Amino acid sequence: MAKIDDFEVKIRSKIQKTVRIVTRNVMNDLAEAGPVWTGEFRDSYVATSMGTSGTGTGGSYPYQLKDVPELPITKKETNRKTKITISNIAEHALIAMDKKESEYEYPGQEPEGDIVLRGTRQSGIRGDIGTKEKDGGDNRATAPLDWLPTYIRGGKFQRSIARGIKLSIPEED
Amino acid sequence: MNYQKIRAKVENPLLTAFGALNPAVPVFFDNITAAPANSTTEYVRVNVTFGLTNDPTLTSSVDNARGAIVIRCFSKKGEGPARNQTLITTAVDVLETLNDSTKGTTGTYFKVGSIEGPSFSSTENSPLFMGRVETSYVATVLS
Repeated sequence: MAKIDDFEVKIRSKIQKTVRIVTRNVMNDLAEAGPVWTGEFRDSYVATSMGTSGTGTGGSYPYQLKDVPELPITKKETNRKTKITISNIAEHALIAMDKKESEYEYPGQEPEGDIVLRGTRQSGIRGDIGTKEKDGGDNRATAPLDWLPTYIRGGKFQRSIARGIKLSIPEED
Repeated sequence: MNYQKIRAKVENPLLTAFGALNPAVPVFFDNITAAPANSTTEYVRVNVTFGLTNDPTLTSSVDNARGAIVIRCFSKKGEGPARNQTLITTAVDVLETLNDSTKGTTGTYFKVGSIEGPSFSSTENSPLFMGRVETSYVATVLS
């Protein structure tokens, strides 16, 4: 019986580690897909364990495994459906995610990230920028409009999960 | 891959539906500028984005794509949510109708996922009140 127990513990440990690896991958994906002006938003992703309310080390991009909280390997915690949530704690997170309108002013420094849109902002939405050729203007954005739903709903999120599982559990010969 | 056919599948019915409202509401798609910028009159902004294309897990067809549809409806601020909700309802009705089609041997097969929203917001200085819905889609171009 002891051997079966050991085996179960190993499996649970593997499952929990896989979840942490996937979480780290997704945090890095989000950081790469989203806007980067000062870098504050990119560096504000936090992973929180639903079972223990523990958070990772609160690192910055590129995120590492230590930035994701350890998960208990008890039966109850392994069976928990939602194990970890990823959130962005930047004050302007909803604006960066194109979910909320805002007013914009030059922050006094050029963006860290590449400029992907340049022109006149059509509304209060960060990425809603028309073409400079047509309307002039020098509003800029470092991520396309609706980068977050594109990542989550366009398949890249699911692909990252699948990659994490392959990474953590080597396939049999 | 025919991205135009996929885009047309969702953009055409939205254009028709908002055009049929009284008064008709202008709809702006990608690379079409809402005129004028920072408009004070109501309008709709539709963003169709492409995620993975030709992902083999979707179907055996090589002409398929998935992505997101985000629809933002802007209506006058300070006049209650009714008009904005009318616009949002129009958008949601179109999205739901897209799921009625059956897969044939020609055309573009298009399905949307669960619809998130609506969520409403406005800023202090903006003249307009915004309602927003988003959904996912999977599309296969059959011919």
